[in-house]
Amino acid sequence: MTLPPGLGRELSAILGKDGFFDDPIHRRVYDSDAYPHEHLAPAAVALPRTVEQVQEVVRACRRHDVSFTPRGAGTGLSGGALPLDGGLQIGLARMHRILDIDPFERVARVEAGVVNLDLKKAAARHGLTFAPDPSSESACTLGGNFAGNSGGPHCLKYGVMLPHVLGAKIVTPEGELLELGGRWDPGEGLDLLALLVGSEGTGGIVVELTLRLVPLEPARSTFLAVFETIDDAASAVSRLVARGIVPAALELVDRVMMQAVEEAYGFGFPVDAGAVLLIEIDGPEAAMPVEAQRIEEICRKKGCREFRTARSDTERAQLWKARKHAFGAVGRLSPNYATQDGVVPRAEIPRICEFIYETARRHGVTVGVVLHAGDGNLHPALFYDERDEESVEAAMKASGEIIGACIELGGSPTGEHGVGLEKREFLPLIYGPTEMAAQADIRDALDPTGRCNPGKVLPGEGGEGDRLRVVGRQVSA
Amino acid sequence: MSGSRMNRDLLRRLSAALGAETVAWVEGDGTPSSLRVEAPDREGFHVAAAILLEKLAPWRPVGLAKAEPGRCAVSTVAFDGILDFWPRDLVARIGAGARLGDLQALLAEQGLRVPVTSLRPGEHTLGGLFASGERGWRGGPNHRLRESVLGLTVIDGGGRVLKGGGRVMKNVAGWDLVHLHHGAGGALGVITDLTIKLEARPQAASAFALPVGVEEVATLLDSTRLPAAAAEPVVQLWLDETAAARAGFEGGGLLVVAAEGWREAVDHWASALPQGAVAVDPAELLRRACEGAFWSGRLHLGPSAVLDVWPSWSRKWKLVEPSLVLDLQTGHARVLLHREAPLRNAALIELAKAGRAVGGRLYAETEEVAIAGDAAPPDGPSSSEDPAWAIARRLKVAFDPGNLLPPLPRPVGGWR
Repeated sequence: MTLPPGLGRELSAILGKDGFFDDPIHRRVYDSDAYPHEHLAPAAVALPRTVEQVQEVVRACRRHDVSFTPRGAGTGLSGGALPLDGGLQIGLARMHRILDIDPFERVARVEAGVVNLDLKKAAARHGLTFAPDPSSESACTLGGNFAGNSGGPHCLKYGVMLPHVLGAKIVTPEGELLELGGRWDPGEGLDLLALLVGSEGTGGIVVELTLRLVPLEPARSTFLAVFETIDDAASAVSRLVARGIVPAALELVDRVMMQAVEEAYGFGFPVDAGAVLLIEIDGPEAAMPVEAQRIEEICRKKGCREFRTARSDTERAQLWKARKHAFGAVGRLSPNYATQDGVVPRAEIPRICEFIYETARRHGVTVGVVLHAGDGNLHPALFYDERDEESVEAAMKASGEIIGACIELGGSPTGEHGVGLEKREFLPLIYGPTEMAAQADIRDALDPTGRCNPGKVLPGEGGEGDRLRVVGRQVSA
Repeated sequence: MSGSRMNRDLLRRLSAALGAETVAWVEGDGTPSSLRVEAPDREGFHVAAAILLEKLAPWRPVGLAKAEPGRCAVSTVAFDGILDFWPRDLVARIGAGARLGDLQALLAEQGLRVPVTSLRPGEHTLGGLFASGERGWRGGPNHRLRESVLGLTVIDGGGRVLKGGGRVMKNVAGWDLVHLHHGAGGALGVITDLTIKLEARPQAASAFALPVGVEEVATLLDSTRLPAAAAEPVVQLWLDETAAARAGFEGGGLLVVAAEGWREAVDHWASALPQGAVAVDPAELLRRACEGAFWSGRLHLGPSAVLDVWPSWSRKWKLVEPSLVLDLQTGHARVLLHREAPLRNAALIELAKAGRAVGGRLYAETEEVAIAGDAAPPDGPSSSEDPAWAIARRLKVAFDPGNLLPPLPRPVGGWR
């Protein structure tokens, strides 16, 4: 797709020389996000710096009937920021100012392109933090977190993005500025804000957010519980939650991933264990010893063979590195991997893990699993080599079967990565025809123009973009 | 067809289908009469809904609320009880008509609770709480029903039975059919059940009241709220002198704080509170403070600005006996007037003006208090400018094509 000539001139005039690009190099830079299986180049790239510029760009697209796709840092794992029918990519990364932090009210007002971790660092100076912590927090933007209703390891206790969003300014597909919520608790009324959080950029472009900050807890303890089997570890998770223990984080890492981490970093983790639980608690100092004792008791009762406590910030950082960099470590074992984002009820963790290993064996694929165990949100990494078509095919088949099993067990195909391009075909597996029609109704209500991030979420919508590759294979240029 | 003829026809159809004892006339006082249907069970509710949709009769789902003139009310109280329970996941599917008080009592037997509070748990149904978007008296970002609902079933205005969400803790598959109905007041569909995340009851919970005047409250906050505190309270409310007196504490403002968790931590927190703290039941205390008010509204302003605006205004307008309950964690400021007086509108307009001067708003429930010279409030179908209303209207058309369900409430923060 190429832009109508008049639109290119208009956008250059709105954004200046360094804000609009339609050359092949820039288009190539923006042809992918963190979803590894598709490369879709936009017709052009707009990089606005102000809300007014975003509005003008969207209005220009409307006048010329051109679609547009918003993008934060491009860390999304389901292809949500890829321009499916070409069109204009609108990158928000230059809108990265933290506008205001009010430590008394515990509120931050930020532009959408602010990086998640940058807000955390700024809030920490006031003894506060921003709770949602996706693994990509050092790169992902808060606007992207809004669009995806992002989570992270610590959302077990603190919740995902939604409860931390007090207000938002959104440029609608018509180019108007929609203001929802505000600086304080939104109160009663039609909750459009909740509807738009997690709408994957299909209802407009979020340009400014008012976010809730939470106090940094006075004390924190991190533990590593080592189990012979993944069943034992999963059983400990259910027991902990049932006993009213809600850790700040409760992560499960299986043997394959532990081996990858150990090979990469050499932290001295047990490579012969079936699974480990990474458990973090935070809160008042007085609660730490009693909570730690109860967690250890429960883990031991459920077959934990070793219970380690991080004795320093360095040890704690190492434990978290093992979890947060687990996927990075996979690079030592396989040239490529596909990660999934299924969710199952907590009690079904042993069954889904068994299914994952059995499916991987059947397809001849190596798989490693990390889980936000407290939420039942699993991220199996299926290893493949994109130069080998059979390996790609096997990994994709296994991946699809795993998501199908999550749904059969009462779960969801996506807990935090979003539907984007990747999961569109799974939606009819969880929703009947009536619900699918209702989904389309919501989409139409949010964007009657159909120009804002077209082709996402709902299945069956094709695209006209420069599709370079599908699951590792070149299909058209 | 005239309204009364339609009602007679409806009465016949509903009585024939559900039994005469389930349908009643509700005579208005000089207003059009209406019908109230006590659906005997879930199936009966669906039958009633189908008849009303077929007859294009305006209706609204009600929990324990009264019928409203000209609109048939169908009670959801037949939808009570726990329909499914997954104990290892701490998740339950619960009928929308379940009363919060009954439900909490039932769950308490299992050491569990729904993490939501209400001053009138015996009167509020779960579906009503969700549909109203009402926040309870306990603070904190996760202590709101919105954050505990994982899935729901609704009948929309077109008669579609829709299931949204599911029973897992995280789910971002598609647009959010669950939160679409949060705060919607039944305008987009009738909630019949909700799937809810339960939590284990804490080992210990304590609540205390401390006499704290408006001048000291900000200072005291530093020692109970900021990160240096031993524990993050789950309740942190400030009652002005009038509210405190109505709650039984004479002599000035009152800070109400509560903490819960492990016994050791709660005890440690309690021991660090200033001298003079008295153990209280916060729900009971708040019930007394709010009892008997003839007007209730919400000052949407933020704690520090509320504390700036309130003292001089409340002193000036003593004749309407105003009181304030301020949630210091959420900024939710409940304004109550306890005495009717001819100048009460003037008093409210002055408070609304004071609020606006510092960027806030005064709402009487969901409608903003209008000030002379205001443009017509941009609510309802007449507003074409506001994009929030434009989205709301399109949703209404899609989910209630016959416009038979209640009107849309104001979108949250949708205009300013």
